[in-house]
Amino acid sequence: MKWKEALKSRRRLIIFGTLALCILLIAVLAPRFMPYDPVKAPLKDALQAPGGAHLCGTDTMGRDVFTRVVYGARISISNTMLLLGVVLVLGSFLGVIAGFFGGTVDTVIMRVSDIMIAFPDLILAIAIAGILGPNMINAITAIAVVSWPRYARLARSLVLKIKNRDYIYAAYITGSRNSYLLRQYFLPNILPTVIVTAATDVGTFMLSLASLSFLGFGVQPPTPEWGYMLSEGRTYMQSAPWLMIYPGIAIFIVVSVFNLFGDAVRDLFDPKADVTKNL
Amino acid sequence: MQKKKIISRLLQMLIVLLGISFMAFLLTYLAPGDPITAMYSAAGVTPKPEQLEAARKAMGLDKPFIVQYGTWLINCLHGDFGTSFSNKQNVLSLLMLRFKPTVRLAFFSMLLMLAISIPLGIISAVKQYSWCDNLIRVLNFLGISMPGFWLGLLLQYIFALKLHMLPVASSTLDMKRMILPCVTLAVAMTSKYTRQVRASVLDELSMDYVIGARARGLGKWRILFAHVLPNAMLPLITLLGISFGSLLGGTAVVEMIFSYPGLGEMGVRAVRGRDYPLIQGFVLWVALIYMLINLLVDISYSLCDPRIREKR
Repeated sequence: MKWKEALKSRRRLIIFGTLALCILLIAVLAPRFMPYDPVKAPLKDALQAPGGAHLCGTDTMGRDVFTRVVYGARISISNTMLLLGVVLVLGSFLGVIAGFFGGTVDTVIMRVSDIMIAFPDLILAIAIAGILGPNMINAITAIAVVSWPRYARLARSLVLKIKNRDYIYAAYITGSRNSYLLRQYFLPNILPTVIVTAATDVGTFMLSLASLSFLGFGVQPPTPEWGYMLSEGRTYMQSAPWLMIYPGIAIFIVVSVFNLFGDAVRDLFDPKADVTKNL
Repeated sequence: MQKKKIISRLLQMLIVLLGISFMAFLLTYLAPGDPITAMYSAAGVTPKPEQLEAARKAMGLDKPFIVQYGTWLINCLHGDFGTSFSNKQNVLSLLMLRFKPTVRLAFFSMLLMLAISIPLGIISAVKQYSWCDNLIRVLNFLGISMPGFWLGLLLQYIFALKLHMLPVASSTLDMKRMILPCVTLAVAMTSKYTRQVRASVLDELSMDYVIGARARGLGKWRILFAHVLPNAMLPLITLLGISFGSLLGGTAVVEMIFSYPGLGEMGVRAVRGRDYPLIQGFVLWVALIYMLINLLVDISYSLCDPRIREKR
């Protein structure tokens, strides 16, 4: 009955993994089952209260809020994944290079990362996104620029941990090239930890992107993005509170699910220590 | 911390600050469109081509990048961060003007957060796995996923618009106006701190000295308050420093929601209006404060923890 125990110890992973998968499916399949268009604006239906034909009401342009919230998952998830991919690749690449080659390369990369880390959370990202011009690609660039150092430091510390092991020396002496060493020994060693860290960061990145859009430095209308929808809804708080309630609920649920999923993944691989905590 | 170590930290800080100043300058250099046009459009004027050329010369924008950067940096070191494009005021005095409200907001929200999270964390640790603990942990999980801006909007909707208990935004800086931003920030931080308090109290409770104290017949509460808590609070100092530092940088989102006249709100406005001198000043200032606070935290940490003092 071994599989039963395995199943039990992975219960949280299975539950939250399934929920995350459901959210992904809803996002992917949205165009197939949503009856309204998220962008086209039938102005005569503007600002209808929730109920009847429109489950969550309509916005100032007469668009169905529920449709826009569901489509928002597509925007939010795809952008978060793009951001996560960029940060993961860029951060690990620079970190591995810094740790592997040491010397000047290491100093330069680490000093630059010191500069990025000398800023509290979103401040620098706001400045970068704002100056580059408000659109989603620039917002992703901005957050990537301020987030890679955390991954670089993690990857670097993992490289340094195994750099002086005997098997690395042995490989080196037997004539392995740098590229082979990196591919064969270093990458397999650092990837699991880095990916687990990334899994726990999905929620945070999602919130950062939504924050930038909320401030007007992310997606532009008419894209249905949750942060942007909230900032739109804010103006009509008095007359149409549903505009700011439903996108918020969506962010909250999706971020919760991804956070819980990330935690479950981390617990599975590394039940005791949170590696990133001391960085 | 030794004097030598502090000095070397300060030197490192200077190097990083130099890097930051370069980056802040580079940012506005990389921006699409040129600063002169931005300046005129921030002031709401459409300039003639001759005017543009004259202004460009007057501001030294026809010189090479390095010369421009050097001039700007020297001015900064003399305390001259330039003049804001949008309202023609001195950048440094604008920063100072906005700093005080931000300090107040940061201070009170930290106080409120500690008042909530320390007791909750202690209860959660002492009554581990009880329904109390489980409830607190579930609330923490939800709190971590709660977007700050949504919470702010909800509080504004409920307490200002529906119950009319507090102002949505007002022109004076009184306590009443600070309540909602304070609560929003505090709640956003509470989950993290409650978790931290719980974890470190649990850590301490499992130490041998607790068993020793119990064997000597000390009461449960005496052990908790006189021995466990002082030790458990130490790891909080670092975390508090980081939070305080980032709050002092101005919390753009919350300050925007409540139109609170702090640094963050000014920063967002400056970025929106492409007010380059103000953005540069803001970025430098925030980094400086954040780094100074972190240094102070490290120093105070070694003062509070004799083990670190001995170890050197």
